[in-house]
Amino acid sequence: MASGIRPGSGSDRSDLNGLQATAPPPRLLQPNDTQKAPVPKALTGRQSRPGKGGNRQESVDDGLEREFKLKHLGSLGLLGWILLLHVVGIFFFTKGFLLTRMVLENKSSCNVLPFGDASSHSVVGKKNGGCWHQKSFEKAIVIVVDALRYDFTVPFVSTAEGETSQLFHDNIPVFYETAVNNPENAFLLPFIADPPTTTLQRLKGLTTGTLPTFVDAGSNFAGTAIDEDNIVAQLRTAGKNLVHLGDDTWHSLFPNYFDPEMTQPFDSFNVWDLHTVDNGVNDHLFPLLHPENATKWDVIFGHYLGVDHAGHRYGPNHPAMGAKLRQMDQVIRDLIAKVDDNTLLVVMGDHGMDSKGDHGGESNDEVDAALWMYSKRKFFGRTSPETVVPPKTARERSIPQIDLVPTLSLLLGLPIPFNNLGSPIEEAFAGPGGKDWKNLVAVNRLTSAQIKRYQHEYAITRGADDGQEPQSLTFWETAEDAWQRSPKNGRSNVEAMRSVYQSYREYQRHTLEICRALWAKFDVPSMIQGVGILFAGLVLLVFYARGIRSDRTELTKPLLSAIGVGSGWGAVVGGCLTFIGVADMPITESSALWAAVGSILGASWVIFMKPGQLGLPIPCSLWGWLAVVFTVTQSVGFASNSYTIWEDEILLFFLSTFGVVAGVSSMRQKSTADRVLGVYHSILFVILGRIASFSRLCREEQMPFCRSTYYASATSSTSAPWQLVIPFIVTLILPAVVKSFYAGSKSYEGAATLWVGYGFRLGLFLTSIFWMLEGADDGEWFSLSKETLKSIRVFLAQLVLGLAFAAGTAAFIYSKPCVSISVTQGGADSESKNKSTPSSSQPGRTTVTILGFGNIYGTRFFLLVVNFCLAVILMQKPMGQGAMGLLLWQILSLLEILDTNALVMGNSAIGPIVLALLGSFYYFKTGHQAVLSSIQWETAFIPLSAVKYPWSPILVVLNTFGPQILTAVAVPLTVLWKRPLQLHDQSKSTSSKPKNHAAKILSDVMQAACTYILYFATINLATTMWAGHLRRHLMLYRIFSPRFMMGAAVLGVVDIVFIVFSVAGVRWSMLSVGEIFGW
Amino acid sequence: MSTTPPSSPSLSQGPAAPKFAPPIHILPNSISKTYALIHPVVLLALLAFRFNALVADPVAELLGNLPFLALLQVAFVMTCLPPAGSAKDDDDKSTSAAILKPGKIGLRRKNTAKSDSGGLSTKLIPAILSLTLTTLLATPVLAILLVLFGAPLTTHHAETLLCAAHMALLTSTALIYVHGVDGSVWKEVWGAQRPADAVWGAALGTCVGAWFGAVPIPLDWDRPWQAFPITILVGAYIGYSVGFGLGRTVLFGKRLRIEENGELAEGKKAD
Repeated sequence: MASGIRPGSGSDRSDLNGLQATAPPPRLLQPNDTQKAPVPKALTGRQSRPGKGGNRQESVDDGLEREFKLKHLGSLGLLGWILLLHVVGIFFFTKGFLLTRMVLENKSSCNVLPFGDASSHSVVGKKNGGCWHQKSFEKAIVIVVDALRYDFTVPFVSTAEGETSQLFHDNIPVFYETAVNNPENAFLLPFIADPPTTTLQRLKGLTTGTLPTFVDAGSNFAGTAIDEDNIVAQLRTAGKNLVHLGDDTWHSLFPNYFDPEMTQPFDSFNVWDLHTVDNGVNDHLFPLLHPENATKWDVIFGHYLGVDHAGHRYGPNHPAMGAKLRQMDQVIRDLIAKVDDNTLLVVMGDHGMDSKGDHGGESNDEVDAALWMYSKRKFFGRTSPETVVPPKTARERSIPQIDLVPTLSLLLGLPIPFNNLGSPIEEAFAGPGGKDWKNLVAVNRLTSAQIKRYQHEYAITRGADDGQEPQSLTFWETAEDAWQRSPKNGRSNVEAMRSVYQSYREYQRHTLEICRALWAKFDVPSMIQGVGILFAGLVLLVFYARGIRSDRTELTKPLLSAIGVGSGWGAVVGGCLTFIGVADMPITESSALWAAVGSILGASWVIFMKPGQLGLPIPCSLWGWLAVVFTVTQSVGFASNSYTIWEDEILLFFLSTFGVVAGVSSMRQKSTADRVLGVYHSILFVILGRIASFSRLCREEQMPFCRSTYYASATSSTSAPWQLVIPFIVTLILPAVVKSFYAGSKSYEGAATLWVGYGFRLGLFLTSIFWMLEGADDGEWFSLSKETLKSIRVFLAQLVLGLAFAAGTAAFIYSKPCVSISVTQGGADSESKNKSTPSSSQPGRTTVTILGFGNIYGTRFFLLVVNFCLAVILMQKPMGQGAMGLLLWQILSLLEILDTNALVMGNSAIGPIVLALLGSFYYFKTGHQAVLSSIQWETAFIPLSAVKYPWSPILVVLNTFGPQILTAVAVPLTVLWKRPLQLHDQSKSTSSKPKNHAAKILSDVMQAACTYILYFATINLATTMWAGHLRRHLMLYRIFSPRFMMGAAVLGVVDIVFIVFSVAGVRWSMLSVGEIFGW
Repeated sequence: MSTTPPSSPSLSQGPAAPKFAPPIHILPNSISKTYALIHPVVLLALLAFRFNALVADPVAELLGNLPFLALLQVAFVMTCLPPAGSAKDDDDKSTSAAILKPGKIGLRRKNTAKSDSGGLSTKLIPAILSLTLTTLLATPVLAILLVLFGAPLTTHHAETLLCAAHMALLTSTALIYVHGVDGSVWKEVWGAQRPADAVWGAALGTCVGAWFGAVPIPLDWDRPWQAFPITILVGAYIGYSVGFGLGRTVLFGKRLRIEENGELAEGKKAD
C-alpha cells in the first residue's frame, strides 16, 4: 500500500458506515511525492506532470488495464461455458422427462368404416347423408366461452357451513334453466379438461379428441398448426364452409381452414381488455344468423374471451365477472332465439379457472369446465330419470372434453377423427325418449372400432410391445361378442342392448386409461444423460468456486483452451457415433452431448491435475457450513411435496437464521462501531424479511393455512385501492434509503446524487403514477376513455424502462466513481475551517481531499443494481413493488453485515448464498408460486399494447424472475462493498511484473458469481433428480414438475444475467475507478 | 473473572477483551451432582408424561405447566449452581459483589461467602431476580424471535407467548442466576462466546433444539402434534437436555467458533 492514503482502520469505521460523525473524514493525499502516491490520475493531469515517472506509470497502467480487460473477457467465456453445460443437461433431461406422444398422420375417411373385417366393407357408403352414421344436424354453432367453469352455470348450493354465494354465482342461468325446463332440447354437463389447462392445449384436445402432452405447455406464446386428423379438417374435407370468430389461437392451429370473408380473428393475449373480442364476435356472429345468410355457412366456431380475461384481470369474485357472465347469458339467449331447427348449438368452456382466475395447472377448479348442447327440435334424451337434472357439482357425472369430438362428428355425419379416444355423449344419442338403445349401441360400436383401429396403428408404428394391449382387446372382444349375440331387430330387449352399450363404453374408457398411462412414458436414458451432465457440471463448479486457492483468472486461459479442445473432439466423436449408427439420436444432439462430455473432461484435467492449487471444498467456518446447510437441506427437501409447497416459509426461516447468526457474530467484533452497526443491520435484515413475508400469494395446496394478501382478495387478481399507496411510499423511502447507505461512506457524490437522487426517484414516481392509472382504469374513477388511459400508461412505462435501461446503462458505463475530490492549496487554512483535515499538511502544500474513498468499488457498481431495481419494480404489481423495495434494502443491509463481519475480503460463501436465498424468497413475495398459473402473463402489456417478439416474453421473465435477476446483479457487491482500493506497488514496478489487483478482484467476483450459480445449480439438479425419480408420483404435475421447470428456468436466467449484465458490469466499474486512480 | 463495571453491555469493552469468564461448574457436593443428573431427565419425563394433554389442548397445558417448570428450574439452580457473584476467584481480588446490584446483596454476601451452599437468601434473591428477568425480558425477546422466524403474527398469540415463556425458563433462568447482570458475561452470551458448561450448553441447546423442532411442521402427515408450538417445544426440551449433558462433559470449556480458522484466514490474505 502506498503512503499517503490512510487505509480504513477500525477506528474510523463509524464514519465509513453511516453513523453520522461530526465531520466528514477526508482521506488525505500528499502529492509531494508523485512517484509513490496513488494520486488520482485526473489530478496528476491537472498538475504539472513529472515527465519520466508519469510515462512509466502510464505504460504500466495500460498494461494492467489490458490484462484486466482480457481476463474479464475470458471470465465471461467461462460463464458462457457453464451456461452451455446447464442448457445441454436440462435439454437432455427434458427430452426424456416431458412426455411425448407419437403423432399419427392417418386420417379417417368417409368411405372406409373403421371395422377391420370384410363384412363391414359392404355397407361402406353414405348413410342417409351421413358418413359413418346418420346425420342429425346440417349445421352447427360451436361457441367456446373461455374459462367457463362449471360452478358458474349451476345454481349456488352452500356446501360448507357459512359459505355464501360469490359474485360469479348465479349470473349465467340460461344453461341450467333450459336443461331443466326442456330436457329434450338441451343438456348441461361438467366437462373435464385434461391438463395442461391452457387454451392452445385445450383447443387441440377439443378438436382432435386425443390427450395432450406436457411438451406443448410452454408454446402458448407461439402455437403451431395441428397436423393430426381433427374435426375441423374433417369438416373441411366434407366440403363444409367454416367460419371462425374470436380468439386467434384457432388460426395458428388451423391456418387456411376458415372462410376468409366471414372469419374475424382477434388478438387473444391482451387480457386487460375484457370487451373488444366479445363485442367483435357478437357484431359478426348475429348477422350470420339472419335467414338471408343461412346458406353462406355450415359451421361457426365462436370463441369468447371476456370471462377468461375478467378472471385473469380481476379474479372470479369481482363485479366485472358478474357483469361479463350476465352479458354471456344474454348472448346465449339471443342465440337460442335465432337458431333454426337444423342447427345444433354447442356452448362450452375450454377450461376453468383457479380461485384467482388463472389457469394452466390441474387443480379441480382449473379443469372443471361446462358443456351445454341445445337443439330447437326435441332431440336429446336421458336414459334414466336421475340424470335429468344437471349435476350439482362438477365432480358428479362428468365427461372428459375429448368426448366432444366423436359426438359432434357423428351428429354432423362425419367420420370420427383417427386419433380420437373420446366416447359419444349419451344424452346426444339416446333419442328424445331416452330409449334409443339401438342408436347408442351403433355409435359406440363405431367409436370403439375407430379406437381399436387407432390403437392397432399406434402399436405398429411404435413397433413396441404393449403388455396392456391384449387386456384391452379382451374388452373389445367381449363387447363385440355381446353385440353379435344381441337380437338385431327386437326393440323389446332393452336390457341386452344396455349391456352391449356398457361393454363398448367399458372398452373405450379402459383404452383411454391405458393411453394416459402409456403417454406418461419416460425416456430414462436421456434423463440420466441430462442428470449426469448437470451433476458433473455441478462438481466442477464446486471445485472452481470453493476449492481453488490460487487466482482464478490465471486459470481462465488453460481452462478455456481445454474446454475448446475437449468440446471440439467431443462434437466430432458424437457426430461419428451417429454416423456409424451407434448413437440413436440426431447428429446435432449427439454432437452436443459429446461436446459437453468432452469439455467436462478437459476442464477436469485443468482443475484437478495441477497440484497445490486445489483444496477440498469443505467449509472451514460456521459461515461456510451455514451456506452448505441452507443449500443442501433445501435441495433434499424438494423430495417432499410438503417442503416444496412451503418453500416460501422455509426461505424465511433460513434468512432469519442467517440474520440471527449475523447478529451473534457481530457481537463478537472487536471494534465498537462494527459491533453496533453489525447488530443494527442484522436486526434490520431479519425484520425487513419478516415484513416482506406478509406479501403472499398462496398456492392451492397451502390452503387453509395461508391467506393471500398479494391481491385485493383471495379470488381476485387486482390490487386493492390501499395497495396503490405502496408505490408512492416506495418512491418516498427507497431513494432515501439508498442515499443513507451511500452517505454512510461519504459516497453520495458524483453520479450518485444525480442518479439515485433524481433519476431513480423520477422513475419510481412515474411507476407510481402508472399503477395509479391502472387502478383508475379498473375502478373507473376517471371519466377518461380506456384508450386514452391505456396510451398514457404505455407511454409512462416505456419512459421508465428507457430511464432504467437506456439512460441507466449509459450512466453506468460513462459515469465517474462516486467520489468527490477537492484540492486545496494551503492546508493550514482549510484546517481551521474543517476540523476533519488532519494537521499533517503544512502551509503551502496541496491537500487533496477525497470523499467516498472507502467504498469506491461498491458504490460505483451499485448504480447497476439501482437500474435493474427500477425496471423490475415497474414490472411488479403494487404489492410486489413494496417487496422489491424491501429486497433492495435487505441487499444493502446484507452488504453492511458482510463488511462489519469481515466477510467481504474473506470471500465467504455466505454472501452470495444469502443473496440467492433472498432472490428465491422474493420470488414468492412478488405474487409467484412454483406453479404455471402464477405466471403473470398480463404484465407483458405494461409497456406494450400488443404482443411483440422478443419483448413480450422478456418482459414476463423480468416480472417472474425479477428478484433473482436483481440479486444476481448484486452478487459482485459481496466482494466489492467497502473493499479498500489497492493499486500496484509502484516502487517495485521497475523490476518484476506488477501485481494486478484488478485481476484479484475479478477472481473474487468470479468466485462469488460461481457460488451464487452453485446455489441455483444445486437446486436445479435436486429438483431435476426428484422430478425424474418421482415421475410416477401422484403429485408430479402439480408439484414436482412445475418446480423442476422453475428451477431450470431460473438457472438459465441467472447464468445469462451474469454473462450479460452482472459480471460484465464489473468491467465498466473497474475501468472507471482505474481511470481516476490508476491500476 | 470480569473486572468491568456493569456499564451498557453492548458498548463496554474491556482493556483485555479476549479474557473470557470461566465456565460454570456444578456445585461440588453430592446432592448437587446427583440432582444435576436427574434434572434434565425429570424435565423430559414431565414432557413425555404430559405430551398427549399438550397435543390435545396446547394453550391450557402450557399455561398449567408453566409454574411447575419455573419451580423445577428454581429448585435446580438453587441446588446445583453457584448464585451470581458467589463464585470464588482465586486470581481476581475484586469481589464479584458489584455484579449484582451493589449494596444490600453485596453486604449480605460478605457474611455467607465462605460457604457455597449456605444461606438460603443468598440463593433465593438471585433466583427471584432470575425468574423476574426471565418473565419480563427473556420471554418477550424470545416471542419476538419466534415471530421473526415465521410464527404467526396475527393469530396464535397465546401459543407463541407460552412457547417463548417455556423456552425462556429453560434458557435464561440458570444464566441469570449464575451471571446476574454482568455486562461482560452477557456480551459473551449475545456473541455465543461462552465456554461450554451445563448452563450455557443447555441454553444454546434449547435454541438449536427449537430450531430443529420447526422442521416437521410443514410435512403433510396431518398429525395433531404438528400444530405450531408443540414440535418447537419438544425440540427445545430435548435440546436443553442434550446441551446440558454435552456442556457438562464432552464440550466443557470449548467455545463456538464462527469465523474461519486462523491459519486459513491468513493464508487467504497472503494471496
